Amino acid sequence: MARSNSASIVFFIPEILEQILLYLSIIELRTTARSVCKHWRDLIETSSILKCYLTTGLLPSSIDPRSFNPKAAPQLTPAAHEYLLLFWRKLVDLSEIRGQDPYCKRSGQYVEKLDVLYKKFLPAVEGIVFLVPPPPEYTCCVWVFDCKPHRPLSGREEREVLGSGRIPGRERRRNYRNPLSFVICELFHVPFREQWIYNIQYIAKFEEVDIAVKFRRDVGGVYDDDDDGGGGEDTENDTGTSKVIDRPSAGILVEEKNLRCLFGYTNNTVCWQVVFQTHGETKIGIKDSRIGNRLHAWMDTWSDPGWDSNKALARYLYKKNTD
Amino acid sequence: MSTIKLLSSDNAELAVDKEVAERSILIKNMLEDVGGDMSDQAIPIPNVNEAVLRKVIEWCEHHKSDPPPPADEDSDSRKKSTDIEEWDQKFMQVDQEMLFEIILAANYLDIKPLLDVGCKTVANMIKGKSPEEIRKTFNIQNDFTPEEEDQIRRENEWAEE
Repeated sequence: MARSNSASIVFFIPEILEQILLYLSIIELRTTARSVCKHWRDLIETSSILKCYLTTGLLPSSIDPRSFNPKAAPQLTPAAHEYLLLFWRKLVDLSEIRGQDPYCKRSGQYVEKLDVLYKKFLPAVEGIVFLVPPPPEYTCCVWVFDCKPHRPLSGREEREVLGSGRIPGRERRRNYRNPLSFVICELFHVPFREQWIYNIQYIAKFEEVDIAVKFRRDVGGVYDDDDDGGGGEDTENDTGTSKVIDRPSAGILVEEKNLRCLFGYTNNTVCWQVVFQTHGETKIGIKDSRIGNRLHAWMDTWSDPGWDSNKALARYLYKKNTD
Repeated sequence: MSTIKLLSSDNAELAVDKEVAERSILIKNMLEDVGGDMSDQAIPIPNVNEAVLRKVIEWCEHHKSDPPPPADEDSDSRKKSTDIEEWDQKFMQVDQEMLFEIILAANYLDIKPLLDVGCKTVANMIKGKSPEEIRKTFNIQNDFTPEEEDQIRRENEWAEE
């Protein structure tokens, strides 16, 4: 005899099952709930509410384009949170495999595993909406780092992290901490809107990790941060466009409490950053003299149209294999 | 305060304050339709037996002073939290059959907050479980073919711990 006759009745009322499933996390709904039985799978794949929830973490009514304020800053969707966090956790787990600096040039095993993780994740995030309202153009930049327990980054630390951007065309940089920089770029097809000037769009506490989407106006060329004492400008031809640019530190205004930053770049490339800031114990210490042990990982990609992240990954892996 | 009578599916007559009964939108609308005077006649609730109806009334009694839910409830981006207030948690500590009966009754009687609590309770029973554990918990038959199962497993590989 069925253990619960009413259960089967309840589960066969789509509206109720829908409502129950909406209380699950997006990833749990997509993976676990979909694997229970055909009826659940079919509902998850056909219900418009659940489909919307799966790709955004929101109900259809809350992403009605009519309700968008076109001037409003885009917000990271709950779906983006979940995927980013899962990815972040897997990254951390991955680095613990070796228990040492994951950015070490010779950590081939790490890079292999990273590559596997990356390739597994790519199809999974297809169709995920990362920002609402969706900005009209494309670029993205993802940074992941952590900091000391219960302390936000100081202005200097933030400058260090933000100022350490490695850019394609810079060979020696690419060898350095670059594995991660290619990982997420394909995950987040996050567009940008050029006229936005200030950057913290969203900070949310999610368990032990804060995620922030920052908006950053950045340069189309590269800057040279080898010369720490310098400041001001650098000229770079590597990306094919020669541009005089400001050093990142020049335009950053940091309010420590909320990580609100203003980037004063005057050039024409704009990118988004997704920042993970952990609170609590640092899981791994990274022996990086420049960033100290605060940097877990950072990733970025640039809106330079010539910059193809897959090519970059291929180039990186090629470089690694020929080292 | 006026009292009305409800007649359960197993013919039990339960007296209940009108204010309490009106937590049910079904009953509320029904009373409005007949002009509010049902003092001498029991309202039949054909889908709900006495035990379940008593539970539902108990919930309505406790929540009779709750503010009405906001009209535009969907504007809340989503109800992520499955937190349930303490009294409701205790209220929902019933066997599974009763839990689902309460959900069905809340659905039938149109008592949305009670339906929500029921759904949250079930969701909490699902959370953190494997598909097999979920099937076992709710006695759901696994009707996937081995090939389908294999395909789903492959599709979920990226999220595996």
